[in-house]
Parts: sequence; C-alpha cells; structure tokens
Amino acid sequence: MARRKQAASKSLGLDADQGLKIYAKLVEIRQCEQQLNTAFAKNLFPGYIHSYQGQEACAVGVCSTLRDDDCIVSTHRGRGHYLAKGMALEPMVCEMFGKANGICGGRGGEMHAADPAVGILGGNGIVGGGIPYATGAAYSAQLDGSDRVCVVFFGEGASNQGSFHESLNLAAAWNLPLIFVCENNLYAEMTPFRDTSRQTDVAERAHGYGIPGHSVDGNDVLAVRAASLAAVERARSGQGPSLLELKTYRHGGHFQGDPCNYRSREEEQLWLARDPVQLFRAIVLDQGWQSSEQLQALEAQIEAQVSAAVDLALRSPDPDPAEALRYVYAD
Amino acid sequence: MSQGVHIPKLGLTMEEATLLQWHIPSDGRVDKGAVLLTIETDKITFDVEAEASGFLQQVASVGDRLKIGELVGYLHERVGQSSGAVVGVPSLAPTPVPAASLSAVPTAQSAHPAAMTVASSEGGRQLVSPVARRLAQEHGLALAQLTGSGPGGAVLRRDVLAAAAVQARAPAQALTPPAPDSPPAALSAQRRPMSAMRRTISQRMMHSLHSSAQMTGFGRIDMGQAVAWRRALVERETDLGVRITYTDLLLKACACVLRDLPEINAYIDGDDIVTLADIHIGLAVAVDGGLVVPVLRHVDRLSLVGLAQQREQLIDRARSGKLLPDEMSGGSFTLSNFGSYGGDFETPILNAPQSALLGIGQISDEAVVREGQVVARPMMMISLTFDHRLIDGALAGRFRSRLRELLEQPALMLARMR
Amino acid sequence: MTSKTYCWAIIDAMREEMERDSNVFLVGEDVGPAGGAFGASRGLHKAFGPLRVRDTPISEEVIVGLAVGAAMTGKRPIVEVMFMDFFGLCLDQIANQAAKMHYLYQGMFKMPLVIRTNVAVEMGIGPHHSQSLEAWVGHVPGLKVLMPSTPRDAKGLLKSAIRDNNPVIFIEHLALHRMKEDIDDSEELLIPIGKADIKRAGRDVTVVATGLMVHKALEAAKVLAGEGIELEVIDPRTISPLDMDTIVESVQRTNRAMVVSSAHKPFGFGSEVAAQLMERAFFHLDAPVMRVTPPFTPQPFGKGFEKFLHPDAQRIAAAALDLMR
Repeated sequence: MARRKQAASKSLGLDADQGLKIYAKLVEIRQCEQQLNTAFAKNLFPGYIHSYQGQEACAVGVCSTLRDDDCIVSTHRGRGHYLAKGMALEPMVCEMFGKANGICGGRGGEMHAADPAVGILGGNGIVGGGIPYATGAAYSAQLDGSDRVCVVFFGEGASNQGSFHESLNLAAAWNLPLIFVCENNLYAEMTPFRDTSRQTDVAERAHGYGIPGHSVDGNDVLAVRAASLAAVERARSGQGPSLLELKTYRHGGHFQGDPCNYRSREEEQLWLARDPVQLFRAIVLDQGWQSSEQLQALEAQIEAQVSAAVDLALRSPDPDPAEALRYVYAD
Repeated sequence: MSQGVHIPKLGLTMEEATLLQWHIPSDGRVDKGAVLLTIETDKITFDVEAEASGFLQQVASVGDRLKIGELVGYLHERVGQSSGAVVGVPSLAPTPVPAASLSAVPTAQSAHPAAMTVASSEGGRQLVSPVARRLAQEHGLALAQLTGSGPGGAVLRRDVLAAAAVQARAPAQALTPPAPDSPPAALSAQRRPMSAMRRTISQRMMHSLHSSAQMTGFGRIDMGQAVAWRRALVERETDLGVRITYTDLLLKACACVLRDLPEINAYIDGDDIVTLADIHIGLAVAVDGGLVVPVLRHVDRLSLVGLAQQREQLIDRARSGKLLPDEMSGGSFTLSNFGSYGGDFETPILNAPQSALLGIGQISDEAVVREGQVVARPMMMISLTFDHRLIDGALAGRFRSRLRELLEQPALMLARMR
Repeated sequence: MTSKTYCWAIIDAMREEMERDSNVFLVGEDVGPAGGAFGASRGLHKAFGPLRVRDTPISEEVIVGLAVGAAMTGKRPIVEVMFMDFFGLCLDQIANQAAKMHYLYQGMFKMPLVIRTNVAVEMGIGPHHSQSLEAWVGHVPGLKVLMPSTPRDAKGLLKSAIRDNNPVIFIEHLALHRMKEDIDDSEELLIPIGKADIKRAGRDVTVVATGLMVHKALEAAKVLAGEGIELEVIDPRTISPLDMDTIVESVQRTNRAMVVSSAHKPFGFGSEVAAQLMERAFFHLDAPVMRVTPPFTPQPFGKGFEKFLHPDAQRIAAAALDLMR
C-alpha cells in the first residue's frame, strides 16, 4: 500500500511537504477571497474588488514552479498571484484596504501591489498593460546571461489587445525567457469570449507566432504545475517563450456586485463541482499526506490567519494624505 | 468708429504732397464721396474725396508737407470726438514683411503726458498695464493724472516713468490748480480746496507710508547731564553769540551716532541700498498752514555754535517762506521736536526716501529708581521711526542706546568731536 | 574641439554613456546595423554588439514596454520611437506604466528610461510626420521632457537623461540634425535637466522659444537689433520641469514676453508659460503674453504649405514689434 502510494507520489512529481505547501496556499487564497468579498459586501473594502475565487489552481500551480529570483507580472485580479509568489499576507491585505502599512503604503490598492524582493512586478489597471513590460523583465535576464524567467498572467480578454500580439511576436523573435499564462475564465468582463473571438482556444494563437502553446485544465493544480514546469524549463534552457492557456472559471462576477446574468446557472454549477481547492484536497487525503482532522486544523488555522490580517487592516491607519505628493519623481 | 484720412499714393514716383486747402472745416459734416481737401505733388494737384461720411477733425494744416500714407485728419461718427492715438502705417503683423520695410514701423510714441489727449476707452475705464500700476504706486503718482500711449490709450510703463521724471524735476510744484468755486455746502460741514502746501504734504505723507515698512521704537533718556551742559552754555550766550538749544544738542548727538552707524544714513533705491557719506539732517519746522523741513548740512563737521547759527537762519527763512529749494532737499536723516508743543512720544512718519527719523518729546521731571531709591530726574522720550526694509530692530535699538549714552554722558561727544 | 553635428552629438552621448555603464542599452526600429532611420546610432551596433543595440519589430507599444520592464529590473534602456507622431501607439506604456511605476509602488521601482523621438517640423513630410507633441507628455506627472536646440545641448542633455532615474522623453528635431557646433570631446559634457539657457541677452522683449524656433528667434533678434530693439531669447531646453525662474527674472527686466513654438497654440507649451507668467510676474507685465505658433490645422504635405503655416524670422520680428506698441 505504502509503495503504491509512493509510486503515485512520484508520478505526481511531489512529495508530502510540497503537496501540503500547495494545499495551504490554495486555502490561503480561497480564504482571502471569501473574507474580502464579505468585507466588500459590508462596505468595508474600498473601490472595486476583482475576486480570484475559483482560479486558485492557476496561480499556485504556476508559481510553485518558480524561484524567488524569477518574476511575475500580474493583472487587475492579482491577489492569487501575489500570495502564490510569496507576498506576505498582512502587508498585502493592508494594501487591499489602502492602509498606510500596506505593501505600497496604500497607494496602489487591489490592482497595484508589488514586491520586487520576491519578483512580483505589480498588477495593472489596464487590461493587457503588463504584457509588454514583462518582455523587458525577461530581456533583463537575457542581458545578464542568467537563467531567470518571467511569467506574465493575463485573461483571455487581454489576448485580444494589441499588446498581447506585439509581445508574443517580440518574445518569439528575440527568444525571450518569458512564459505567457492566459487564465481563460470564459468571460472577458461581462462578455462571453466566444462572442468576441472566433478562435476560443487561446493556446492556438501561439502557433501563429512560432512558439509552443498548450491548453490545460486550470482547475487541476497538478496539471497546471506540470505544464508550467515544462515551460519554465524551456525558458531557462534558452529555448524561449511559451503560451499556456489555463481553462478555469470565476466563482463570482467580473467584480463583486456583478449579477452574472451573462452566465447560465447550469454552467456555474458544473464548474463549482470542480472546485480546484476541493479537487486537490481529495488528492492530499488520498495520498495520505494529512488526515482529515489535520486538514481541518490547517484550514482553521489559515482561516484565522486571514481573519487576523483583515482585522489588522481594518484597525490600521490610513495613509497621510500629504503622501500623495511624494514619489512622483525619483532622485 | 473713427476713420483716418491719409495722403493717397498718386503715382509710381510720388513721395510727398503739400496740403493746399481744406474744403470742410473742423467739426464740419461731410458725406462720403465729397471733396475733403486738395493736395499738390510735384506733378499734379489732386482733390481727395471722403471715403466715408462723418464729422471732420483736421490734423494737418494748410501748407504742411506730408508723406504718402501720412494722417491728415479723422472722420468721426459724432461731432466733437477726438482721436489722440497716432496711427501711421497699418499694423505689420501677421503678414510677412520684407526686411527693408521694417524701418517704416511706427516709432514708440512720445511719452510726454501733456502732449497726448487720452483716447476714451469703451465704458470710460482707464486701461493700465500691471507694471504701470505698480510703478505709479511706487512713485506716488495718481493714475487719474496719467495719460496712456499704449493700445486703446492704455497707460504703460513708459508713460509712468516719463511722468515720474517730470515730477522729479519739479517736486514742489502744485499739481493742479485749485478747483473752481464749489456750490454752497450743507450746513453740517464745510468744504474748501486744499492749499498747494497742504496738498503736497498730504501726498508726501501717503507716498512715504506706502513706499516703506515703517516701525517706531521708543526710548527714555535721563537728560540730567544734558540739562546741566545746556544751562552752562546758555549762561555763556553773549560770548558764544548764539543761544544753544536742546535741538542743537540733539542734532549733534544724532550726527555722532550716524557716523558710528552709517547703515542708518542710507536709503533704498529700487533694488539698491545707497549709503551716504555726508550727514545732512532735516529739521521739521512748523510754519503757518503746515510744515517744512529745512536741511542742516554736514552736521557732523559743525561746532555746536556753527550748528546753532545755521539752525537759527534756516528756521527764520522757513517761517517767512523764504527757503530755497536746495535748502529743503538732500537730507539723510530728520529730527522732529514735538516736545515743543507738549508731546511725549509719537510715531513720526519718515521723510521719504530717508530711512530714519528721530522724534523727541518734552523734558519733564519723572520719578525713577536709581540705586534702589526713587528720585526725580528730568526724563525725555525719544521716538525713532525707521524703515524696516533696511534697518532691523537690533540696529534701531543700537541707535537709541548709543544716543542715550551720548546724551547721558555728553563728555563722550566731546571725546569724538572733530 | 571638433565641429560636431547635432546628430553626431547624440551618437557621442549614447556611446559615452554605454561605455560608462554596461546597463545602458538601445532598442528601436533600424537602430542596429543600419545605424538608425536618421543615422542617429551609427557605429553603436558595431561597438556594443547585438544585445545592447537591437532592432525591434514595428511594434511601438511593446518596444516601449520592453524598456519599461527592463528599467524596472535594473537596466537603463534607451528607446528610439522614430517620429513623435507615433506616440499614440505607445502612450499607455509611457503615460500609464512608465510614468507611474515609481509613484504607485512607493519608490520600489525606479524607471531610468529614455525615449528618444523626432519632431519632424518643417521637413515637408506630411500630417503624420510633423507634429510637435510635447504637450501630451508634459501633461503627465512622473515624466521629464527635454527639447534641445543645439548639438551641445543635445549631447549634454542626453547624457544627463540617461543618468537620470526617471522616464525622460528626449525630443530631437530632424531639421536640426545637420546643425554644427564645436564640442570638446575630452570634456564630460553634462547639462542639468530643468535649467533654461539665455541664448541671447536683451532688454526689450523676453522671447521664449523651443527647438527649431530658437534659431528663428535669434534671426529675428538680429533683424531687430538693427532697429535698436534688443530681444532676449530664452531656450528652456527642458519642457518639464520648466525653469520658470529664469523666464520670470527676464520678464521682470523687460516687462514683455512672447512664446514662439512649432506646436499648436491651444493647450500648448505657450499656454503654460503664459499662465505661469500671470501667476509669478503679473505686476511686471506691460502687455499680455503673446504666443507665436502655426495656426490650428494639421500639417499638409509639402514645403509650400509648410512655409505658409510656420512662423519665420520676419513674423517673429513683426510680433515683437507689435508687442512693443
């Protein structure tokens, strides 16, 4: 029994330690999204909220294959990426609430958090705005002769922006160590992707630029991880860029408060049944990495940590308004 | 709208014409097409027709030799309008102009205010450029009395500077003649025009207060020693030939302090500080109807006797209205004795452009404390008004304490006297 | 001392800075072996190799984006955007990304980026290759905008721009590419950003002129000097941050100001100077601030139209005379 389990582990490409780390991260992101959505509903969260709930496996699967000195560029829906790449929970949550002790002093908020120490090069308020500058981060690695890679996340909606096409072409032409990760949640804002694109498999677009493109089940963290490992390996070894399309689904709307009249309830039910966190939970148990009670304890602990972070944020001071005048120019 | 009448170009080689005759008198009405005037060139005699209807204002005269395009008159919409703005060649901008014709540009108009009549702007509001307004204020000039040479009759910098130059040359002249007899006043008040002297005083006072940052600091001086000195000198009046007064002592003491503190014997001119080498002190003298300030020259070099003699002569001439303009100017400091009419301390107004003025009050016995005992001493208050742009409080304080020192121990003046 | 053209001064600046700091690199269309669409990078590809001097596809948005990302990760990129008219294609990366990185992320990222571009005024090329768009970028906080008018200024300012840790838009003038000036090669020529240059002193009118207009203003000044009128010609050199101290000090002496620019009058550079003079030198003005610009039309093709539309020395001189009425 034990040997079979070991063999299974080997084929998964993970040991218990790694597996638990992944699970904990999935739970952390899920808890974060749930609690922040609740805060938003109570009018405690400023601005919009773009929930990552339902897409956790994408961020975790990809980022688990990256080093600290690799970098990522995120989007307006970035919390999953931030946490998965290693941003600390409390400064991140404080930033979400626009507090002075947020990781960017409360200046960026939900869409603009960054941590260069762990290679997080920010989110973006412009759909597709990050894709061009991800090429630059990759080029820096190439100039340095290093094996660092860069991953840029974006949604399928952004794959219709000119910036996407220009960046794919340039990355391919210059053989940049850049991995394009498209989280296809089937809806660009409130419009079905199929209504605005003839080619609904984003991965297919890669072939037009002469680079590999793979479509992957974005709710299966191990599948995501496997595809990512291959792409990262390609980039590190100087074979250039790839495009990964992760098919997934948002549990909520484009933003909180979106009644999602553009999706059918049946479709939603189908996807909810394939909840990425629950899927991996089952694997954890199946592998015998943790017992059910241990998992519950872990989940409770993470829930409490996130709750404490939210409380901290709510108690934290707002930034001094005069700070708005600083940092316009560097010295 | 008024239309200019110009000498037309009548031939390729024509350069000038002589005005032979006006056919319409000034203020006369003329219809479009009627003959206005006759001109003569070297080749022909020509009748110039009116290009519009209107009332004629003649500008050029019979016999004038005029160039092509030169203005000879105006056709106004209403009779009695007049145009003062000189318009020669129409404006050059925006069409490109070959380099040679730039010399035909109208030169800057004469800045003599008296020579211009003000073009009335719409609504009767006087147009003044920002810098002109500021300069007028700085020079103490009333805007209403300035005429403008700029577009639309605007008062420009050059107009103000010209008026200031005129004013500087004749500072004591009355500015406008007295107003004509006013209608009978209401019973509760009386109205009469200011005399020339009063008007001058009034303008100079306002100008002084507007053109510097005046502050007054006070001091109290124990005049015991000074009183004794003066009494001794008065007893020798016959020998000395003149009666020494406290004013003389104060004049001399001030001159000594000014020698030690030359920064006070100075004034601000524009962005510069002018420090004067000579110490000439004006003395405020009350005269019939007002106040004059004759100036004693080289106070630091005169003996007390010499000072007193000069003082007597000047006050005499002041009271009889015989002071010469030179005797009323050139001062670097002023002394004002309001003790003579029973004042203690006041905030005197500077004699612009000087930077300091000392006022002295009456000398009267007061109870003061000396070595723990209350005693009666002859005390005098001094009021030093100074221009805070140039002189800071500490420096003014030093003036007062130095003055006190000299008056309380007059021997010190002797020690440094030349 | 050697006589250098404006174009060579720019090449020299880039070469010196690339020798000094290995993090400096140049990307753009045709900048590599071809030496640049206007020859402004000749010799650099040979000297520094294909990674540091690299040709890009015709993709202005990602070209600038590449530079943004490289600047965020420790490099000091120079990007060439061939004509300033093309800025519409990459304005997101310039205004939304580059300009705001340092600010949004509270100084966590520096943006030591230089975008070199060309304003092709009065070259007769046509409506999409002739616009002077400094107002677009001058209006964005976080950017610096330079507009040199001489070879020395071009070299000194470009070197300073490359060493600056902020995104700098460096606006060159094609029409000035062949202008010559003596430059001492052994001198480390660094001209500070944000400092205007009085190209000609004078007591009667302050003329603020940029780029090609600096030279036309100087010509106008020569003409008027013969009439006894002395223009003071000030070249701001830096559009943003603008050195108003120098301009204000001048107007305090002359009491008259005009701005001569190749850009349009509405919402343009002259408007900014006029507004600031109102704020800071109102009580020194003897006349309204005048703006001398082409009329508010697109630029049609051909030299005939161009000559009609663009102010020349005569029009500038006439405007100065008008101001003195």
